[in-house]
Amino acid sequence: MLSLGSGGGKTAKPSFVSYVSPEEIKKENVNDDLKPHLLPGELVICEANTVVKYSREDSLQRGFYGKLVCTNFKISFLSAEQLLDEVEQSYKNKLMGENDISLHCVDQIFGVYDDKKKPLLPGAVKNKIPEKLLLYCKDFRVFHFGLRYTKEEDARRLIRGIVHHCLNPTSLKCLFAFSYVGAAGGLKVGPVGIEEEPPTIMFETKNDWKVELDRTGGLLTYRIISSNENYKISTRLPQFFAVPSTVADDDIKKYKGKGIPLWCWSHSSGCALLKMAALPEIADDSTSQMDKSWIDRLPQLLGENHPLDHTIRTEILSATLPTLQEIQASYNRFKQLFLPDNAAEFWESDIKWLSVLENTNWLEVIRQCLKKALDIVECLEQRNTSVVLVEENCSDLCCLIASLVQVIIDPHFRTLSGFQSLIQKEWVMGCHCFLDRCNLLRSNDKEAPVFLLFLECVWQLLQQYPPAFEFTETYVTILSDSMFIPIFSTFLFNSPWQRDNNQMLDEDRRMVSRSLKLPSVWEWSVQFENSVQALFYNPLYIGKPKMDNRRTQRVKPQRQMSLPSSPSYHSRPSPRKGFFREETDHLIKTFLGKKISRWTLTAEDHSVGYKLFYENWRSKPIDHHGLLLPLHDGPALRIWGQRYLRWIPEVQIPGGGSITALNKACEIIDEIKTLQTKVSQRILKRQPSSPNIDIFTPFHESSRLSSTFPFGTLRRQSIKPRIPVSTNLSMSFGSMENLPDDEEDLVHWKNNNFAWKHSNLHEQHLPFGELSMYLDKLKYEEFLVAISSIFQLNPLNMHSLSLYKCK
Amino acid sequence: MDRLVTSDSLATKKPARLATGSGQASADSPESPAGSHVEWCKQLIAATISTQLSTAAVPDNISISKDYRVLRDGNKLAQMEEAPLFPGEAIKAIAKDVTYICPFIGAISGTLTVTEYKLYFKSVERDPPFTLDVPLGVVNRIEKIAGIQENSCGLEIVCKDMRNLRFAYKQEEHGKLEIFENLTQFAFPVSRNLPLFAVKYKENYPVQGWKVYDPVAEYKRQGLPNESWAISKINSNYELCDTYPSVVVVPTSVKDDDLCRVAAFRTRGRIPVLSWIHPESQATITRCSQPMVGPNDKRCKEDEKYLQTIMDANAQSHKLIIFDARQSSVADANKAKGGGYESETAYSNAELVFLEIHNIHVMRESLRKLKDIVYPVIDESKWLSNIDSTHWLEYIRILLAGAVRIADKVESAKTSVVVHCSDGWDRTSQLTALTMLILDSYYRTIKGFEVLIEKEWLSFGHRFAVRIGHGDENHADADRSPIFLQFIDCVWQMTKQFPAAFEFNELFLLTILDHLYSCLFGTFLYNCEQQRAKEEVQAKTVSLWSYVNSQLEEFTNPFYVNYENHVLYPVASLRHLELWVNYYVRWNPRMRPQVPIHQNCKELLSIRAELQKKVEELQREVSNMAVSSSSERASPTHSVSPVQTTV
Repeated sequence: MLSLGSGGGKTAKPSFVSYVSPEEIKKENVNDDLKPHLLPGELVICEANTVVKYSREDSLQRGFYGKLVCTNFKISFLSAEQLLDEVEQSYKNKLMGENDISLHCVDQIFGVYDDKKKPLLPGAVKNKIPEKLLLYCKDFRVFHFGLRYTKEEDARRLIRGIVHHCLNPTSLKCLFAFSYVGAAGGLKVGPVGIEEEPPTIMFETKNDWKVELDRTGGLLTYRIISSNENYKISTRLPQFFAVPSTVADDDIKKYKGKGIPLWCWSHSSGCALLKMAALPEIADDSTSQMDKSWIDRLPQLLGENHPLDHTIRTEILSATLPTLQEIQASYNRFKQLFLPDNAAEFWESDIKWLSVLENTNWLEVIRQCLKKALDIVECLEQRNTSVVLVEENCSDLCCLIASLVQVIIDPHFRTLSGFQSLIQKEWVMGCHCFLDRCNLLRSNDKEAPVFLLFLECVWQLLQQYPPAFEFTETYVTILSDSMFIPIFSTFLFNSPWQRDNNQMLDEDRRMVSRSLKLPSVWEWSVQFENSVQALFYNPLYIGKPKMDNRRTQRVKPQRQMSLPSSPSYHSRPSPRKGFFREETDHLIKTFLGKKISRWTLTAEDHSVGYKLFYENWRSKPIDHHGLLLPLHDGPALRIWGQRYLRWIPEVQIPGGGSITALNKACEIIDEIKTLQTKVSQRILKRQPSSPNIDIFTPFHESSRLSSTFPFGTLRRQSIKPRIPVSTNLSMSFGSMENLPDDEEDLVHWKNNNFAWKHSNLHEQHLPFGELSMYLDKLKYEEFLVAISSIFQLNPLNMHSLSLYKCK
Repeated sequence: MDRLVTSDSLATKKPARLATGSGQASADSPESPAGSHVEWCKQLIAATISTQLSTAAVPDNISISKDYRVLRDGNKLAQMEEAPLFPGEAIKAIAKDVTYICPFIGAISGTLTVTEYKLYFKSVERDPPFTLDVPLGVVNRIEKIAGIQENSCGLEIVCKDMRNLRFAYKQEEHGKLEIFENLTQFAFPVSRNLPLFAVKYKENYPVQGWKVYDPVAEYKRQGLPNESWAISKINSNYELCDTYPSVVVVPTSVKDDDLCRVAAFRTRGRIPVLSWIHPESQATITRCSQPMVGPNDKRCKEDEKYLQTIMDANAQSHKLIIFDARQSSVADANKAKGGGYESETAYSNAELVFLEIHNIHVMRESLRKLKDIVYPVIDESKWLSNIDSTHWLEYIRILLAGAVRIADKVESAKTSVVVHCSDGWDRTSQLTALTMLILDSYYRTIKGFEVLIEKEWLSFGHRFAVRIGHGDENHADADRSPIFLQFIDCVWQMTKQFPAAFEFNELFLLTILDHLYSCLFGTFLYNCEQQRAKEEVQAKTVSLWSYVNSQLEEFTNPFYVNYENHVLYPVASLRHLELWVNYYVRWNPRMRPQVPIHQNCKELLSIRAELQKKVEELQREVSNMAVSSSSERASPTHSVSPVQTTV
């Protein structure tokens, strides 16, 4: 193994030690044969040889020589050396290798000149070649490339190319996705690997909406609008959507769908969650009169929809939630905490970590979203009140809160396909401006991590109630990474209109076959083999106990909560002043005015109930298929470690992490399945089976796992303890001096890399869910019933068992 | 932040901090009296009592009776609110219509019972009934708040386990002080020369916990004695060192006379003795107290030679690393007081490393601050910076980092280490025990962890009685400090980082901490082995391990995987360390976990056990049948067709 040759590594200064000397490299020119793995439509723009990739685990003192390539899709580091040392990863993306960075994933670029870090910006690249090129990625990888031995000309061209293609503003048509899909021609999309079951609903057809209305019981009171087919009315609306059935098509046309409550979700009690874009500012008085009369009708429209008398609340999201700018600013501060350059910087920042974290305000932003969702949930669940979320464009915080509320209330959205359908319904069809918010065109001014904030909130819920979700945090993390792979139609556009308009290549729309469509991110086989997709499924997920528990279970018990139901809006007293505290918000002034405030609940009315509701719910045992209220107290909110800490070697816990417990749980479940099989075999065959049928498959030792699973790599240095290098300590103390000398160790690590215990996704995944549904029953009797039902292969078997026993 | 105390009934705000108990040094007071709460408490008392007076027409609001049977027969409510008792426990006082002022759910009216062991409050007002069951051992301080109205008064009970309790009741002439007096008497029996409840507790457990730790057996497990190390009887009468165990392991070649000289050179005679030996490299962890170098850099040939012998016992390394847990500045300051540290000139081949851990007073203050921010209310928006300001996690981090450094030297550098602080019974115990937990998977089992506590903490004389203040009313005692709590916290942090590597679960750690204070078991009583032997603790009291080991399934981690021979280095970074909410904030009902995930796994384990039994049963029956009727074997054998699991 090469890595042993250079030995020592205990150099104080970053005079690097490599495994092969640069002279050797130049002589042999080994890297010339290295060819990047190119996707269809991908072109090499520039490249440079003899680039050093410093290894973060080696305290940036050692590295690998190789070739750095920049294409129209990615930056790729290729090295003959590294291949030898590469530790097999359990996580592998088909599109992106370990040393590939998609151009959109690059967040910041720095050059190191004379040990000083300077940002490299488009148009301001100096002639001088930096010693090092630092790339900070949006998925929190940090790359250090040394250019000291690179040909000056190559280096210059490479740096310009990288800076230009990563940071310069571009146009939609220039995005890689279009060359990709164009070149791929009959690109294989759709069922390549496993077909998910049930499939993700894309909400692209009238029927998709009908199915969802039907599922939630909103079919009677809401109707599907198809007058926007081919975006005739508005380009900021999907082709199909649902509105209260009393809303006429003309009303929708009038303001291109603004001011119309759009249906999101119906509660089994009849109330619903809706969202609405604010009406445009009104120029002259005559139209404003008409608007007001229309506004006056709104409550009736909604109210008449329901056989039950129920109230309506409008929720102006901008009044209580942070603005997009605040969210963006907070995230910018936050992300900086997870990009330490080296160990010293890491430990330096560790001392004040908690305060620094608090100052970013990011957890507070998450908390506010969770609280807002809780507040809305209480209205729907407890007060039988329909809620209309209002936002200027109805495509940012509306999407976030609406989808979060649905995850909290409806267990369907906690399944994998349900969750994907939800993102389709609320985000993609909700016209969330992914293109602008992800800043794919590098225009900078509209960037805001709204979708990421939603994933953050979901992650918080996920870690609070692990058995309630069919998907794992790994799935959520991978989904967040996929935002920066510019191939998927899901995250590329500002609206379905823009997508459809751009996908139809050129004018001849009719000629475009379906196969030329960009893949959706939900086509996971584009990125991953089945073995990786298996990591998406939570083995502890408690499957649905009944076929349709939603309708049968929910209505009654929730209504029993002992709060008096709020009076209808007719008898509602006029609102208190406090409600309109944000007087400056033009939206409230122009749209709402006094008329609407008549039928809104006041903020004061409501906060009391929400607390009681919350406490009440907390005092009862959890139904993982019922409501799942997020905890939001100080200690409850955590750092999404898998996403933010996975590439920082200092925090990796070799042999630890929650994955080790999960691994054990899987092992137990597997053993139970084996035993179950044994029992049923014995009963069926009534014969002594071979004494040593050992169906137990060897599991990975927990000691071979790590907290960053399935990301990161366990290289030999990771086995060493991480010892804080503190400036306070007079003694310098590194762990570099004691490298394990036995080769065996490394081999062992390699051979024992974790592979999830699923050979076939379906066969393995489904029984897990089935089994685990027995687990949340607490009483022993129920538990016995559960055991017997594990045995209930069919009634005959039980019968034969008892017969057998009678003998 | 300084809190206000109002010692008089006028309830005026005074900026000064007033000591309420016996005269105490203000800087080091373990508990700052929660004055602003007192204020608030008084207001609440006033409010509740006045409403009670107006609504309840019962003339005798407070009935106290020694003969509680009379009361029980006569009063249905009291009967329902009666306290369950342990064998050997007797009720001392009962008061009806006491108001417990709960900071979370408001005032609750019920019956307060005081026994020799606990304070028990129950209210059937609520459904389910509200109960409060507090061992008097956790009481740090009791304060009586004079009534706002003539015949009412309040009680504030400051506890060692991160909570304060407040009661309000109406006083009757004849029983004016009974509740209060009984409380103080049984909460602080040692101060009144009364026995602790542990000696009265008469429960029979099927397992004898006192047998858990046998030093000779433990050293044998480690492969001792061997040619370099011997089990010595020199301290069998605690003559060499009265705070050390009777059984110690020292180098074979050192003569007893020399040991005595070394003892004379080490604070309190706590000579370097072996704690742990690496099974392969023979690198050892030895522990001791500081050398008495003094201001004139005194040297002791025997001590120098002794450390050289310890180094020589490990052939793998030609170095000995001495870890001084203290801050280097403090170690220097100790020279003036006759203490000090090993100079590298006097001790050739030795390398001295300071671990920069603060002293017991700093830790006590840190915990006091922590209590302020977690009880009763949490400021959610300032949560992280508040924790930061207590430095509690920072100290945990330093401690863990120290243990990791020691373990790394032993494991990777195969070097023997010596660990000491000043006396070698606080920080030294923390470090050696944590290091052993990192290095030796045996200590990560339930039994092994019990041995670890018995060995590194109890037998080596961590002064539990002094640090905790069992039954002692002097709450301002500067010797009190949460050193052991800090150690358990570190262990918890490790279990968080390695959730499958420990055989015990969180409840096990919580139980240990609860009984650290409760005085129900004899385990943590007294300061050292000699005292425990003198007081016949083993004969007179029950061991905590009897209780634990009689119901192991309660304390078992369902995810446990034996990481045999694996060194587990925790990551000592604040990115991973978190506040142990289930301990420090557990009284806050909003922090209570609903269904912990291990519940699921526990059930899976029992399903598995059931199935395993079933398989065995069937196997037996099948084999019986196979013998009796061989005709049935005609059917195709060995076809292991997977049986469909029906959906």
